[in-house]
Amino acid sequence: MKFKDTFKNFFQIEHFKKLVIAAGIFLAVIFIFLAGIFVGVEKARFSYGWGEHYYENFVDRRGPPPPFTNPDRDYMNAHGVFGEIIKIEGNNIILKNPDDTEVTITTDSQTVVKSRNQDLKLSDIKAGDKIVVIGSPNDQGQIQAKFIRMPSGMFPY
Amino acid sequence: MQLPSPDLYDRVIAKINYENKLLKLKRRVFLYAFGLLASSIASAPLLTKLYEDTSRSGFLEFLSLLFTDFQMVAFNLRDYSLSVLESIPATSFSLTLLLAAVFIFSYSKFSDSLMEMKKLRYH
Repeated sequence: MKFKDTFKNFFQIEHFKKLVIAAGIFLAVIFIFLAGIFVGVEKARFSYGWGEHYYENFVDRRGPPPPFTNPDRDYMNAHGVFGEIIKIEGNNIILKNPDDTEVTITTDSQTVVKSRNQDLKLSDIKAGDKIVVIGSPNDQGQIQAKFIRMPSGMFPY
Repeated sequence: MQLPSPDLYDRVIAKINYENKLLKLKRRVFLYAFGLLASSIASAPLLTKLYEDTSRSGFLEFLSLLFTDFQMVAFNLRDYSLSVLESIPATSFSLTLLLAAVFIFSYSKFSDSLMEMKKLRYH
């Protein structure tokens, strides 16, 4: 009888509400922490691939990868990039991002290119254009583009 | 010889209590005013850093795709979500949120303490 009352009171009193809130906050913190780890691993994996294949992608000769000597340089974004096109080679776009780092964007027939409300062809974009790219990283340290948006004056760069 | 009034003891104790409460309130007001001032001063460099990090990471550009190309975003939701998460300037963003929390907390407590100070009367 006493235990039953205690049990009943526990769920009625303020403590239960506080417990639920604390559990919610704890779960949110755990979720954010795990999301951070996941995103960090993705970025680190891509940066490693980018460094390993730097000479193949950008210099056309094999050699040791450039060391990450700049302490200010963070791991690179693996699923999205934006910046100015330096060069277009076939289906590959070499992009310079705001950190002054080159990134190779590979395209295929599935890649959608848009400017304003118009669908463009890959041949419509040229060196000097600024683009935003959404895609997925491959093992060669490149980003396979799924969507390319050319800014139409609304972007602040 | 004139005798002290019978409520002298109570009045002395009340005065001591009043002074104690006033001292505590003054300390609190000073502490929260310091919190307000410190967070206001720190906000300038921190907001500048947040702006720099945000524009360098491309966070705003990726976010704006949500409004200009919602269909494409929905179609490539996983890659889009990851690109937004990757570009969040986590350090400056969390520091700015922390600073905003300190400012709001200090302001709330500062105004509460001032109100309490106004209400405090010596009886």
